[in-house]
Amino acid sequence: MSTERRPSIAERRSSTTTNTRPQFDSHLSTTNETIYNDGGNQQHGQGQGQFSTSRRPSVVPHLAGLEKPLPESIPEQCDVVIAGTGLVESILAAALAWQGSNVLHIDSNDHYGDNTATLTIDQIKNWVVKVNKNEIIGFKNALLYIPSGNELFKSKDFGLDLTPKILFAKSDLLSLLIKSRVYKYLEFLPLSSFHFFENDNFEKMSNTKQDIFTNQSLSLLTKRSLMKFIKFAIDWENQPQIWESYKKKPMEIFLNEQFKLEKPQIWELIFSIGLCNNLKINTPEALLRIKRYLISFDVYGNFPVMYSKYGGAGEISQGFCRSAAVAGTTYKLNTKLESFDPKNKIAKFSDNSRIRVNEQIILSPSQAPNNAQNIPKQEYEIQRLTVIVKKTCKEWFENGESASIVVFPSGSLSTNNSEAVQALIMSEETGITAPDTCVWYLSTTEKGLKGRHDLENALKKMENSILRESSDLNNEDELFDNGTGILNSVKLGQSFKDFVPKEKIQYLLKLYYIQKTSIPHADVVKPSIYKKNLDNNNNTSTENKDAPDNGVIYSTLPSSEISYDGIITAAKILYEKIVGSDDDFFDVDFEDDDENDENNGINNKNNDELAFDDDISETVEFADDMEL
Amino acid sequence: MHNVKRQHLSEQVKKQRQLKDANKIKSYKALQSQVLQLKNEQQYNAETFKLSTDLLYLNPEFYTIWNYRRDIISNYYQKQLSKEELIEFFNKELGFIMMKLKEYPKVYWIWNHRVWILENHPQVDWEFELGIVSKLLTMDSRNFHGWHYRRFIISKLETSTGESLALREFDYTTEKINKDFSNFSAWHNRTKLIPILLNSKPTTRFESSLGFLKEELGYLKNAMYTDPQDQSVWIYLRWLLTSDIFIKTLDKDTYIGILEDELKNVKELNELETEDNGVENNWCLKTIVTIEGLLDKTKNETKFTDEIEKSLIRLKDIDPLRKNRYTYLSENYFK
Amino acid sequence: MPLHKQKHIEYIVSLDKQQKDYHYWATEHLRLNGTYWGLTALCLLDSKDSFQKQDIVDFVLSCHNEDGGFGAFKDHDSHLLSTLSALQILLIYDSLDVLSTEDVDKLVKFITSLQLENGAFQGDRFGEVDTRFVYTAIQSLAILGKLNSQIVDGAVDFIMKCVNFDGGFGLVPGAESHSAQVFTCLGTLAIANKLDLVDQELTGWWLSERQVENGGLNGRPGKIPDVCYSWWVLSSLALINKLDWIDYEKLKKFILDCQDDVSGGISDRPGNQVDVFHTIFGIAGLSLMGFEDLVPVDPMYCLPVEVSKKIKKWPYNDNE
Repeated sequence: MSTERRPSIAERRSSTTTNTRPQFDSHLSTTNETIYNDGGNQQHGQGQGQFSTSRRPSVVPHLAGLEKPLPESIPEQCDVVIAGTGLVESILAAALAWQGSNVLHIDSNDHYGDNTATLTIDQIKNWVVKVNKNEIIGFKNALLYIPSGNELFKSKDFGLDLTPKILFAKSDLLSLLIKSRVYKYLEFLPLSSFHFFENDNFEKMSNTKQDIFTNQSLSLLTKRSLMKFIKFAIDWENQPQIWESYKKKPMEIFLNEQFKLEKPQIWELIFSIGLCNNLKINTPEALLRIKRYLISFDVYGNFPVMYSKYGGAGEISQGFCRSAAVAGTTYKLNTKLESFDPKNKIAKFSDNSRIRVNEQIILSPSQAPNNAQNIPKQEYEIQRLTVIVKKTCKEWFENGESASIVVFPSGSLSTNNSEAVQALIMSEETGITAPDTCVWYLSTTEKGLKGRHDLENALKKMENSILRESSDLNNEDELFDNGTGILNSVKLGQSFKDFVPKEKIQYLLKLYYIQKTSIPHADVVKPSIYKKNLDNNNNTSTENKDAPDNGVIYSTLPSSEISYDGIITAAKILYEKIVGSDDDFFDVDFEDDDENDENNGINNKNNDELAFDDDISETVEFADDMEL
Repeated sequence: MHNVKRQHLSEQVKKQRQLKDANKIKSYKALQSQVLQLKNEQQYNAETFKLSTDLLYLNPEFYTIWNYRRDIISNYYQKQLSKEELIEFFNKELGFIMMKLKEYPKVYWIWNHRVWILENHPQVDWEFELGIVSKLLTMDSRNFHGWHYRRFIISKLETSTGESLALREFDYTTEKINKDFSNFSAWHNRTKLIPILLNSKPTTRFESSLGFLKEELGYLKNAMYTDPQDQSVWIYLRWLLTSDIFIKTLDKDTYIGILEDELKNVKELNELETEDNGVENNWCLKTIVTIEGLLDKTKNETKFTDEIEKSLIRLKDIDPLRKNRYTYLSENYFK
Repeated sequence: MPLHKQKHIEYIVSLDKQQKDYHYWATEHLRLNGTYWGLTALCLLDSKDSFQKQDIVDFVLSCHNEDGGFGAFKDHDSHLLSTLSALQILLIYDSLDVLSTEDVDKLVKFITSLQLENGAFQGDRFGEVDTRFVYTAIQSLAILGKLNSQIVDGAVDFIMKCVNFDGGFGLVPGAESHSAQVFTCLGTLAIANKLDLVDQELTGWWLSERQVENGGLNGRPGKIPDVCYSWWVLSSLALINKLDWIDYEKLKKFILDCQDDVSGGISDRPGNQVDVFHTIFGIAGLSLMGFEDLVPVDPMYCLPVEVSKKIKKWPYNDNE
């Protein structure tokens, strides 16, 4: 079985650019503010004592990429060892490296990404075998089905994410991608269709002022209530008088009592906009999730979320690894931690090399040494069903887009599901699958066999839907109301209950597995999750005395969250555990800021005697975005 | 400066920056004096044209250089080039301007230069220009340079084809409003297009001003309910209720009927708002006052005098920024 | 925050001492306008002598061109915008007499030759039309005492074509109402003594709605506030005697919050970089609201009242 490598991001970068790609360049200048204020006298790491500023390069060079060959051997000593190149660990490695720490970053796999990797078909096959041999901590019960007859496709045409994710346009990860310049290694595409499954229908949501205004099926009163809620949600933290008495009550009740909303809107808000797992979610938690969607609209364009082309978390983690490498981090794949002795701070690796670790070892649970005794309990489960179908599924995408989200709320499936099923649909333009095929990533937080049935049932609904919509049954796909000129697509809204498909969906692949994590569902990542393991000094348990993972800090396995929320928080908590504070987390000046600064010299002046200017907040974007 | 964050530099950083500026200043000044001298010498040729490009790259607001550039075009290129060559030349110039506009979409001088180029261009593709300005208005739907330019392009297109584009432009405003009904620029354009359409009646929709008005009020009601705080909608409503294009074509009773219906609508919405927020919606109340005034005026009555006075007193409370205006109105309405 | 008068004076005086900054050179095309803004701000702060009269007058004359008009700097082309600035500065310094009769004739010819058949003015020979240029032309001729009925009536006709249903004015007929354009149009009508043509209650309503919650004024519905509109909106309200239709206290606070309390100057919005453009219009706005002991400003001309007194009012009794 060949395990050929997917092309690295550097190899892919120049290949394709699309017109709809969000542009970040205009926002670079916003980071300029800090450059001159401190007079270039940053004293990073001061106050922590253990790090001298001299290790940190004074000016960061352009991110040239990971051109350095991997070292022949592991150096004699380093400050931090990180095991696992998952997203959190990779961000951590880059942050520490730019702060000035000497980092050794290893992974027992032969590829980057670890538990958040993006894998080819051949890599998936290997992975499934290993999961079922219990060789991969954090995943279990993997089932892979690849029908024969698909020989035309090459393994590396595909890049499947083990933990598929979407990126909100206003989120901490996106800010960091820009600040760290890592976005330059990546390409992002917009996603604006969130479909919602109800009464055997896929409904297109009304979640923006535009949708609410033009939607003809909403009553005037509903329009008003919905819009009122949306305005409130954007600023909910500052209006506790409205929600405080619902602090411990479900969102459903709050929306009904405070905003007189009815079930269809409530469910849309909770499951689709909020991407919540079930109706039990409390008001503040749900408001937080709804707000992130609303404020993400119109940041880069008329869409709330994006995703990285050619793969999600796996691609982004690789980007941070490159950044870390530029800052001096040493990388070594196919290398596993054998043991760590907290007393003399010596770590031993699978290739018999050893290193003195001055500060700390961070270990992903998936990279734990054999016979590890301290792996945190992974008590939460996510079930995933990933399929590749031979369909373009373009009926589900907005114009010019290549991906969408479908949510099956509680109770919407024939299995009477109590947890929602979330599905991310990605077509060939996302760079992860072969021409004329689509990847459907389904997931649920339901446990056991029930979860698997829920996933299968949701898959069936999607099959029926796409078959119906892609068959040319009628011509009334789009309705123009001549009266108001309002366009209302009913394509997704029409019932397909009675539709009997004449054709069948062809699968290229079906993959099912269970993923485990210690992070509670739909919860905020808390520092208490990360504990330094016992070291010899205060080891009370004799049983663990010689455990190979004493004295390390375990990171977490990926959560069930479909967005990247929580990732940066996790990386910052770990960073703080090492550095003492997260004040200087990626507090880096990049050389290329200069170019922007020069432009500013003559940029924003528009003052004729009577030349007046409006709010120009949108124009910078326009300036960068405009393509003619 | 517009939208540039304030910063106070330490002396050291200021020095550093000035050190960096020194070279830039030197080359800028050298280029500027070279170009201005050539201009004084009335040198019009390919080389001076190129120099003007260089200088405008550095400073796109240097209007004198845009002027010089146009003089070079008139005195050199327009004399030297064949029609085909000239078309190519002008198209290249349009490309250059577009690049500058992308960077500085609000600089008058650049827009002005584009208009001049089009006026002198031997073969303009006006539809292409319309496409460009549509794209621009997608990026910044309120840019008044963009709307101004759009109206200019439309009038050129209309002149060249002899056909009115009012209907197409009306549909365009609908599209913009559906995207964001806070876009007053689009509502404004509607007030200019509707009279043309009601006079020319290009489709059945514009056959009767009453039919159109009712439909438009329904459309607006949708927006009023979606966001009762949005002033664009209320300002436009005022136009619908006071424009001659309706008043002069409707019989008096019909007009009064429209006003009464609208008064009822706004009052209902205001009640909902009061119920929810514990306070009246100031735009509803302002509009109620306006409509009641219109009713009294049209019927030549004083039926609403007391109502209006009470409303004005409440407005002083809920819209205190403008309380003196309400005082003025109370005093002057009843004198 | 109090008004940092002394700091603003120092800031304005410092503007001509920034030759080491690239920005200084890249804004030469605004130098004459900038000088007028700075000088007027100093006048309103009662610190006219902070500029050296002779230096400034010499500079103005260095901008004088063969065609009779003024450019923004030596060797820059004449334009109505810089021409008005030149005349305003000379008027402030009582120095109009540095222009000979012949100069004045040429200048009047330069201005009047830019009037079009429909009464509008183009800014220079390249044809840009805008109500801004009508205002600059009419005020320039007013300062020179050279208005005549033909010019004034044409200008008024054109201005009245720019009025919209909402009471505002646009930059040409058909254009959306914009606060700054309301100022240029009302200003022109005021100089022409024709404000009675305007539905003042309607215009006053539209202008008063420019004030937003934080006290600042915006240029159009739904836009964010900016200090320069303190002038465009307030002066317009003043011209139709409705100055108090907005809340003074909140606007004063907004303007004062835009001051740079370290190095002086006023910016468009709190926390932004200051410039002389927003400094003058912030101070002029405060002056219109009768702030402390600021020198009173004339809303018609954006000049100190003492200075604008010298302008002969239209219609002229003597020859018309």
